Amino acid sequence: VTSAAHDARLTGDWLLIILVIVAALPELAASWQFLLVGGHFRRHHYLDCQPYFPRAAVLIPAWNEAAVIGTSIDRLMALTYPDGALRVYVVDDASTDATPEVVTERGAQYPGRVFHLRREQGGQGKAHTLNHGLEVILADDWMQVLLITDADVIFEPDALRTMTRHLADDRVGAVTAYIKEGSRPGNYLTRFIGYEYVTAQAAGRRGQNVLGTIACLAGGAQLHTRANLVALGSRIDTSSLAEDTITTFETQLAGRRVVFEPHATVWAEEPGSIRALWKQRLRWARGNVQVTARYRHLWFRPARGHGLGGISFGVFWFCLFLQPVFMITSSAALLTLYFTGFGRVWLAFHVLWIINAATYVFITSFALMIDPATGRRCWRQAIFFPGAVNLVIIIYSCFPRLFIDGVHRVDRALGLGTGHGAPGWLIVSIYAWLTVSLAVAYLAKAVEPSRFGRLLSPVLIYLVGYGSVLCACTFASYVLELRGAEARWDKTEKTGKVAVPTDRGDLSVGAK
Amino acid sequence: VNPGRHARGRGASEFDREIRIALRYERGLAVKALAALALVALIAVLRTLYFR
Repeated sequence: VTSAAHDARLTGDWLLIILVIVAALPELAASWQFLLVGGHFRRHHYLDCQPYFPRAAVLIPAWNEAAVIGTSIDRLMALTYPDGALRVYVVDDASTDATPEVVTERGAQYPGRVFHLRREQGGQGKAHTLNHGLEVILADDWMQVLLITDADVIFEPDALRTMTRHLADDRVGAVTAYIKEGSRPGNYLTRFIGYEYVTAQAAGRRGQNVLGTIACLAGGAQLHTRANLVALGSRIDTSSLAEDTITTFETQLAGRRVVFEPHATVWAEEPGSIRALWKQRLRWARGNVQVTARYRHLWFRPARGHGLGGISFGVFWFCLFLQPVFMITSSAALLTLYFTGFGRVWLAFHVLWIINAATYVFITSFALMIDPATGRRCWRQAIFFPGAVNLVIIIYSCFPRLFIDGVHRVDRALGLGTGHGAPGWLIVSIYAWLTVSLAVAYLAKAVEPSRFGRLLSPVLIYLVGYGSVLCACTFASYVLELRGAEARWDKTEKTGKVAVPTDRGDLSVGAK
Repeated sequence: VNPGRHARGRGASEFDREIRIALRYERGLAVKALAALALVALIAVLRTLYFR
């Protein structure tokens, strides 16, 4: 009996060790995705490109976008694209500000090229607004390709033609561009987002290009062929909060390729407060929960014609989707092992954090080189992306002796003991940290509107890291979806502070 | 024949140049990936040699 109990205990301990190590999976998956970036020079779509300038309709859904829509239209009209081959359709979703006047004025300024479509009954969400425009645009056969974008997005002059060249290949159904954060002067949070977009787009989508499967066309820059839109039923899905992802999946399921063009750059204004970021990312995360459930028959089932069931793609998807679960189970497993006196808990902790450390150094240094301009602007946020506390734990796990003397001095000063190893309070704190960081990220959002929030929230974000905010959002999305909470389309507020590079190489404010 | 497809010519040589530049950039990323991996290896070696 004693032997059986011992065996069961040992099995349980090793299961807990596995739970600890599994928390490194998202880091390993991220490293794999970045390694794929290095293979993009071999596996790309450039050799199938041709000079191609189809008749392009630009579809912009707009609700109270007077601050930004005029400049966006002006920039679209200035694209290096053949005269007469570009039209802009703004679907005004019952705006109550000066959006109709601004668009009508641009319509007069660019006759036959800018069109104002008005919905008198608005507020149903972006997909419904897009469908109103699609119905009008598809009603005649002028349009050959459709660019769906947002009202605040500013295109660099050659962005559209670098995207259309991929559509010369009939196998391609849609192309997306590299969206860069363009708020100027911006703040710490917009710079975190700027760096995040290097990792998620410039790197992540290049990796997906190598796999041949794209997870999501950027909502602010997706270019479709007419044939692809018709194959999708001539409408955008309105049943979820992730219409961009569903469009992307359905395109690939129909056997058409989706391509990311990293050299087509567009600029967008991103949230400057944690509450606004939370609102935006909660919508995205809930959309991802819906997509995960909707396409449950696809995951990890490789199939001919599309790569959505591929192993690498599934690992990338679920590592992001389940990251909060990994963080919580890892903390719980470490603490259980510690309090039950399992001898190898320290080793498991070391393996986890040494993987984290190697991933951090690789990804951060590579990401800063992938987009050096963003790297120069956001290098502080790149360094503190995992959070100051995580950085200290990384250094502690790699170089414990650097810390141990100082820790013992603190230990003695607090009268907590004079042991030789790391003191218990420190061990418990770092084992629990991954879960605690989610709670602190939520706290950063909660205190932001308070009197001290403007100072305290950034401090908390730098402590826990931007990634913890995203994981806390993902966790909140599970809860909301499980509760069946109402899925509302909360539009991100835009103020028109996007700045874009000029011919002189500096930055000019695009709208005010 | 797709009406939007441009004939090969001056525009095509400009297009070829842009593709060459894009591919050169992508090849550069492979070198940068190796540099980032080398940095990880360097830190691992220094840790092994001096901070055991």
